[in-house]
Amino acid sequence: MENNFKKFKLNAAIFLSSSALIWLVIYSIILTLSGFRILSPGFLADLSFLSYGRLDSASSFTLQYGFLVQFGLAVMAWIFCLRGNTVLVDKGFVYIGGIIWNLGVTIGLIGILTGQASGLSGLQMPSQSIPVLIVGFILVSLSLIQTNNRRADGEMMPENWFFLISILWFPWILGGAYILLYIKELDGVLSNIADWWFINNFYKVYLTFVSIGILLHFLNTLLGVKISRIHIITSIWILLLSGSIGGVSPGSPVPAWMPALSTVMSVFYFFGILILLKSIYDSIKNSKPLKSVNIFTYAFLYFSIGIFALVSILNFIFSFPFFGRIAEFTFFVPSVEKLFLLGFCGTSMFLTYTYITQNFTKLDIKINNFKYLTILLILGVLLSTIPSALTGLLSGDGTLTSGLFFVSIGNSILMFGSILVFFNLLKLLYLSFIECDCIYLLKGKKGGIDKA
Amino acid sequence: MGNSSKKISKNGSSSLNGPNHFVYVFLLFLLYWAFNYLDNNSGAFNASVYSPHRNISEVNNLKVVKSPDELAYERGEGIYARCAACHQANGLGNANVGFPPLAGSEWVLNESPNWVIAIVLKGLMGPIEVKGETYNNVMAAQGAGLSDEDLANVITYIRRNADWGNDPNLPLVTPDQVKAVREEIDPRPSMFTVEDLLKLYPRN
Amino acid sequence: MNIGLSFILGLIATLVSLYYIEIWWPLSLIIGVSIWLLFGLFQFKMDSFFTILYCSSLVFCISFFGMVKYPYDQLSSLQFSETVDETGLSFRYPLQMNSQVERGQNVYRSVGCYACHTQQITHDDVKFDIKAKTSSESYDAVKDSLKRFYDVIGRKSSSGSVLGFPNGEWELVAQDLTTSQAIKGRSFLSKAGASLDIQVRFTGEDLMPDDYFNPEGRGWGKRRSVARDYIFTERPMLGKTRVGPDLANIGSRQSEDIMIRRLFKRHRFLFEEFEGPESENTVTLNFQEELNAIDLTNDKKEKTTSKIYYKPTQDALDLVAYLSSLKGANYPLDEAPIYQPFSSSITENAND
Repeated sequence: MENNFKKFKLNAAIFLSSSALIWLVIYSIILTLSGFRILSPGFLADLSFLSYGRLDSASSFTLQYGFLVQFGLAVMAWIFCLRGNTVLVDKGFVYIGGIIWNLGVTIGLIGILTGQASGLSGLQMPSQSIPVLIVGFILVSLSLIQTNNRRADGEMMPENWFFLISILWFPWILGGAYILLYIKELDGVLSNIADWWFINNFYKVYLTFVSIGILLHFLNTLLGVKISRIHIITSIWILLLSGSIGGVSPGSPVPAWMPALSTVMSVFYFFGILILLKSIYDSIKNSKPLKSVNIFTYAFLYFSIGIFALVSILNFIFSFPFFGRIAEFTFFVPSVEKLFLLGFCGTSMFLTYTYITQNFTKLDIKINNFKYLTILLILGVLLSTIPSALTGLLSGDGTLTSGLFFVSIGNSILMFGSILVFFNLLKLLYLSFIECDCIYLLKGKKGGIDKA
Repeated sequence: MGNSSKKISKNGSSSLNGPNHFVYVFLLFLLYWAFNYLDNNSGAFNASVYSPHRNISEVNNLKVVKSPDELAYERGEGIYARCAACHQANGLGNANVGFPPLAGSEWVLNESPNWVIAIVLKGLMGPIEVKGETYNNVMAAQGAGLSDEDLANVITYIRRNADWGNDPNLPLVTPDQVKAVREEIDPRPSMFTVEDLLKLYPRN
Repeated sequence: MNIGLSFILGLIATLVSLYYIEIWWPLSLIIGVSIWLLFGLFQFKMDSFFTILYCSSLVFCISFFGMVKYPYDQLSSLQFSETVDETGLSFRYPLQMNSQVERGQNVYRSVGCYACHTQQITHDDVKFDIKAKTSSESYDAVKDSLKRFYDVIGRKSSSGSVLGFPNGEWELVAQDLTTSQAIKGRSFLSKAGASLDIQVRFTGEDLMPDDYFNPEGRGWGKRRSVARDYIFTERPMLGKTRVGPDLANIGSRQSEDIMIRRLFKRHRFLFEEFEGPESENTVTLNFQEELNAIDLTNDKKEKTTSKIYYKPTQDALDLVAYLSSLKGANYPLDEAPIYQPFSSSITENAND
């Protein structure tokens, strides 16, 4: 067995991922409420803290910072230890950083629900929560970087490159955005420009790189695929340079060079992604599944790659003003964002989750509801994004599209799926607690430690 | 960290060559397209060029070049709306109530516009003879609500209004003239009467 | 990578950053030299944490300076500009907000109106139409220049506008021109001695509707929003999705009464019930109420109409004050002129 949490002392990663899954449940509940709220504004209309604007901001905030970033950190810790064959160094930092991070997310969520959202479209949380988040992240990243530096092998796997760049990138962009918005106090359209710069970097660099790294790792483990390093070096720097510039939509009240530059950079970004996808495809063609892993893990893997390709193509096409103007201000844009966040980034997290937890089927702990989990999650993601994207494009802006009906259904399905995930986790923790009087999730058949 | 560019990495594939060389050629074409696109659509990175304009000279050319005379007249016409309540849109006033006409009025058409400026700034009370008729009413001071430019424009309008029969060839009233009169009469606590006005700016 | 190839790469980087991006020359020199050395001398190794740190911080600086610092240099010194409002009064735009308007902006932000409403007006394209008038002296010259103009813009120079060009009357000579074509037309025709009248119209869904020129217009403003509209707003809530109408110009479109009624119809939580008589500030909701009691004597259910009185909360009033201050997309600015119909006149000397 490969994932050997006791050997690598990965309890801190378990802590991070558990709290991330709690935030996932909270996110899905808020999302379901907001789906109902937009369709029938009279529902719960008396409670002003549940207005659609607040629920919408709260749901996207919880998803991005509560679930995706935190779970991504846990997965990165696991992969660093696994590939580097080392223990998690300075894991106290991870615990403290995780607690501070969760504190920041809580402050942000409460702030948004009580009406102190910042009003910007990207960095919606109140200003008090941002320094807390930055501190939490930096503490965790100190441990992660040291873990990678202590690796046994001088050469890094390609996914480590992606992870390292994203670990460095996140405090820089969040810190930079915080300084620009709240310390230097840019006003007017400049605050929006800083906000768009942050969101573009966050989606196109941080989240994409983490998810690509996870994908590459699982392509290696599940399919035995080894992508050529030179291809990845080429594409990673193209992606970084072009993904970090841009992000201005065509109709914005800024001088004309900013949307033009964003379009150009989107084209280069797509080009980088094409190089990556082509090399992945070439390698997958000549491979076969290495392990007898659960088929649903493979479902998540292929789903994730498919959604990645789809979202990249859509972003490329709609970055040109000719098409972008059609989709601007409709429900297409938030739906594609949600598809990216849930369908690509979220799915890579679910992929990790199912891969790790299914190893327990070898023991007394049985997880046999993977089928329902997979169906619920994938169906939920698809239903809550694709119909509203299509109908948003067709019906234009300024109206409530009919696809939102499906969105509500998709949101509810997603909620059930995430609650199922959370119950699985609770069951695991509980059972492992009573089985071995510790919170190591894996033990050997005779109580020994499995070899890696 | 040795020089590992030659050995086969156990963590990567055995393909030592990078992407197909056509990829790099295509990248160069993409760069060419990018520079072209930026030249066409970025407006030379100028801060005043908003889409769909292409460069700053286009934007400058779009400014409607009205002569200062036309601009002043048009703006004055808009401001006059507030005067039309008493002096009427046709400039004839209302003899019954004592609002004097502006059309053909010697006070308006005088060579120096100071009379009109002073009356508008400070107000007028008491009888005034216009075109042989006497009008006796009070005009409230308008100076507080109008800037120098606005006042200059509205006085230009009433002096040059050809529809009323006034003279369109009279020179423009400038804001400096208004400012000079404003400073001169500012200490006055009360409205003008005709005698005070003629004392300040005598006929000649 | 050998040192020669990396030298070429470094040279390209220096030249591009110096002449196209136009950054400060020592910086571009540093970039070029470091790329040369990294790739050539130090055998650029992806597996070293130092390489990743150095190169990603370099990319971060490029991104930061390109996307944040450069717009800051361009836009931070924007001031209000002199423009005219509908009555012709010149005034300075935009205006500062007073305290009630600021409270209203807080209400807007805290309730989350930006999730469904945007505050930016866009437009698609700008089109020009030219009318010309000539006198008998310049008739031939003008007709020649009109023919040349048509050839230059690629239209049929044998069309009616050229052949049947009348003398001494205004004639529509060209329609649907782009900006560069309109500038060329203006210079051709005015140099030949014609008087010109140019109509500037914008097409786009957000703008003022016009049966012929802009049939899809929703009437949200006369021009697009530009950066100058927001210089006195600390956090412009531009919005990303439109479920309801755009609000950038709503102060010019709706009076305060209408705003209160619309707010009541769609967002009732801003209002509170109260006992008592109607006044001009209240909104009355009439509804039919079915009495559940049955009158035993005549076995009929009676329907009555009862009234519930609502009045706007202080939040709603502040919000309305804020929304009324959102106007300005009807006034022209230098960088965003508004729709100019044919009554505008251009002087004879075209300044290019």
